[in-house]
Amino acid sequence: MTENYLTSSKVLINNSASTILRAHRNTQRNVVIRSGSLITNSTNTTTGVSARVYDNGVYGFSSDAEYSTESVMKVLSAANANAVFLSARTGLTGHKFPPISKYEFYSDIPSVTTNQHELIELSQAADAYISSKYKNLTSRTVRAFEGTTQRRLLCSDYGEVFANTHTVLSRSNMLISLVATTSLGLPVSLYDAISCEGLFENLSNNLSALYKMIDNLYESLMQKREGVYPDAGVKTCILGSSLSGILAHEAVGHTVEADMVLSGSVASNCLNAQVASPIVNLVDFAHTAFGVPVPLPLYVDDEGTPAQDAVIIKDGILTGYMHNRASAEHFGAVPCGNARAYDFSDEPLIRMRNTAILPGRDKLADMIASIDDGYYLIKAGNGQADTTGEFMFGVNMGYEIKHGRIGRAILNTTISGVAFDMLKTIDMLGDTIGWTSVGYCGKKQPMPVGMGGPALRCRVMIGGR
Amino acid sequence: MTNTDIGRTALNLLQSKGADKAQCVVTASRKDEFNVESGKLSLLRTTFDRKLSMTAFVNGKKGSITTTAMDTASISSFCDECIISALSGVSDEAYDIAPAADERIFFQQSSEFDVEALFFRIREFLDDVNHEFPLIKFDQVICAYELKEEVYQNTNGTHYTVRSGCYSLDAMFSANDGKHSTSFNYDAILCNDLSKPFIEHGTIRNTLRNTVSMLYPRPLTGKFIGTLIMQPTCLESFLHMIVSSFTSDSVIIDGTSPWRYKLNEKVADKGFNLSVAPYHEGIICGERVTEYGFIAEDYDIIKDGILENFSLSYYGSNKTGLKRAGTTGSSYVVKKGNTPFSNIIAGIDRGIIVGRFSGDAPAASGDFSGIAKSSFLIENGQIVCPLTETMISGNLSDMLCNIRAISNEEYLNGYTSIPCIAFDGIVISGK
Repeated sequence: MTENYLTSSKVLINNSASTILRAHRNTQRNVVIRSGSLITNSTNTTTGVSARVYDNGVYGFSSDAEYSTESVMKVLSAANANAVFLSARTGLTGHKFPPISKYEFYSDIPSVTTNQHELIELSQAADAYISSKYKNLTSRTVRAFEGTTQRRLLCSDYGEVFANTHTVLSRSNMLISLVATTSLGLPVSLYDAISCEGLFENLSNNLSALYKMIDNLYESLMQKREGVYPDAGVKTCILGSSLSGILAHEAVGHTVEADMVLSGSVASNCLNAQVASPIVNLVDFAHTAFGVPVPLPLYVDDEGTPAQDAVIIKDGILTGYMHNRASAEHFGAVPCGNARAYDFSDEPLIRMRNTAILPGRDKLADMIASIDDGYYLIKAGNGQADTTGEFMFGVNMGYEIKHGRIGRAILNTTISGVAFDMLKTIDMLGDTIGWTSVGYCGKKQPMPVGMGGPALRCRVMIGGR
Repeated sequence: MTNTDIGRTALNLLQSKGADKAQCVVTASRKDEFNVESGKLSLLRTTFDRKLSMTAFVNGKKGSITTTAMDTASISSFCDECIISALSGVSDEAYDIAPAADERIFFQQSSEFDVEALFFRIREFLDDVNHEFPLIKFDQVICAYELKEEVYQNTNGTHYTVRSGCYSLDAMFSANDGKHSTSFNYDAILCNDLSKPFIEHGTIRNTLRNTVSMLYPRPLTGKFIGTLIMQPTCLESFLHMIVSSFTSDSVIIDGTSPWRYKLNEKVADKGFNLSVAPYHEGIICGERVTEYGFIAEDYDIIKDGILENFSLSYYGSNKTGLKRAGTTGSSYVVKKGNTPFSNIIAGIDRGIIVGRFSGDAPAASGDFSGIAKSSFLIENGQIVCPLTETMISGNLSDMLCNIRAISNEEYLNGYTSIPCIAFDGIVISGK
């Protein structure tokens, strides 16, 4: 997508409106090998252009699955017509966005491209490693993924171009899923993934990390095979970084997206209030945290707003929300670049980027030793949260803690709670942060996100029998 | 080029570049969509989409490419990549495409798009809800018409065209009295035309009413084993879990499904019947051609409690030697029972009604646990109060064998036709 058909079309932009032109290409490579059979060997590339026109308080949007001068003209015309249609019927008039500073940003375009063969080769190597070393498995699945997004943006407010950007972002991961059978003949499964920013070669070059992850996964699965159901009820638990990351994203992050706040989420009445223990700090990072790049570094959003960190909770106080331009104006806040669109045909929505609870000062060993009867929950499954702050996360791997020591492994379970109640029970925070960025967040459109956190001690409801 | 021409061009190129066999699907659509955000009509969106999905088979190996580029030069370039991808693969005798069949066109569009009528209905819906349920607060409402043409062709000469057009409404909302807010709830429908108000469709009015009545919930104390009545939205999510965990390709090929060797055996209460029925009269724009190029057919998964079929794709069928499913879609139809919903409640000593389930995918064994959303406590045959922070857990397989009753009402939303079902033996726990 080296061609720039956007700039030449700027003479067609309506000077009385705020307009975003976005050329967008998503490329995804997927390979799945299940117990030696190649189930999936696919590449998906979507390229297109969209226009979003904000005029008289409403949005007109249009997209086309083609990127050319003609398609830019087509979507501009359709988006303008849609804005006119809606404003004529809603009776809204006159509103304009406040000005935004001019911004230009260009990512380096990778000089190498990935061949599908690289994904298949590494997947086969992982599959062969598992099948030759671990004979007592019922099933094994290896998934390899590489995704790259290129965006070209031209943003204009009322005749003035304020953003002209071209960004490229890639991430790659390998996910291993193993199934074993218990002594009662029931299947028990466990999965884990390694991921990185950038192209797949970054994973291919680190085979030892992949094999180490597989060895640890197998060992955990064997423990889980002998696992027990947890005792249902409210317990003192240590959530590992996988779970504290999903807590930051699902239980807190979604409730402080400004569109959810405007819809009446629990956070709408909590700004500047104590919502967590004073040791809790939570930030939605843009591109850098603690001096190093976050899993998904973003430098500009899809409304042309330069990206900066959004501080959500500081010392236990809810200090802000995540915004697009419209919600930032509504709340009198500064937009930090949270307006994101997944594909060329998607309009920007308020989305998270790299949301994390910041680490504290405690050592994991001390945290475990501090619990007489509880659980250490390590690997998260899917998570869901509510506008009320009520959340649910699947837990795929964890252990009992008895008298300050790790006990038996537990079978799959679920933890739940109400975020702003549960966060107040956090009384210990680990001193290291762990990040994950493998799946997608769902909110009308899918969206790659990063999430992170330290181990934390809290009181939470755990499901069981 | 027409969509048929694009597919034919791609097939010819793939064969000329070395494919032994190949299939292509070209999909072109236009969607017009009104969006309501935070209660306000804020966006009108028109998308023009077109994509070409092609799969090449070379020396028993398979590679697939999907692209939006439709000019001949780009198609040729992606065909090269598709062949290279296939050659990089692993041969598998189970890979195949549908056999030759007569050309067919399926037409599933009973009305033309009318933007003014759609705008009228969406505004009417907002007004109706505001009038009947003033405490409802919308997070998002998406109301659309999609016109689509899908052309399937393969090198055996199979050529199917499906043309469809229908309206849809997806609404997400909560109730809020200024001090208290409920969990979010949602509902969705498909419809052929705009002949009646959206609030009259499917379970929408009922879901709105239930949401308002959730405003002042109580937490459940303790834990008990009781009866769980699943309302249609909740039951639909459990049907997806049951099919995925017990009858789909991955678990049948691997042999990890607890039902792998239970074909023609009892797996559920004898009153339970689950079909996938894209031709059912209540299903809108149901699947007509499967992803492997077969004409879709209705089929039973469970009939009178007996496991009749797995949900296997053509690949899964070839891999296992078991019967291919008639459709790859999820147009679930559960046969209604003979007990009125009110009588089901009246017969329960202690249990809950659940509108929505928030939980992770079940374990490979079928064990599940999660939050009972939009739930109400039942005691001594009466609905006592709405609940919050209530978890449910059980096993999918056990649950189907512990059906207490199936309601004689069925709920149609264009996607599925599902009644309410009461299951015994569920672990229900609170604080």
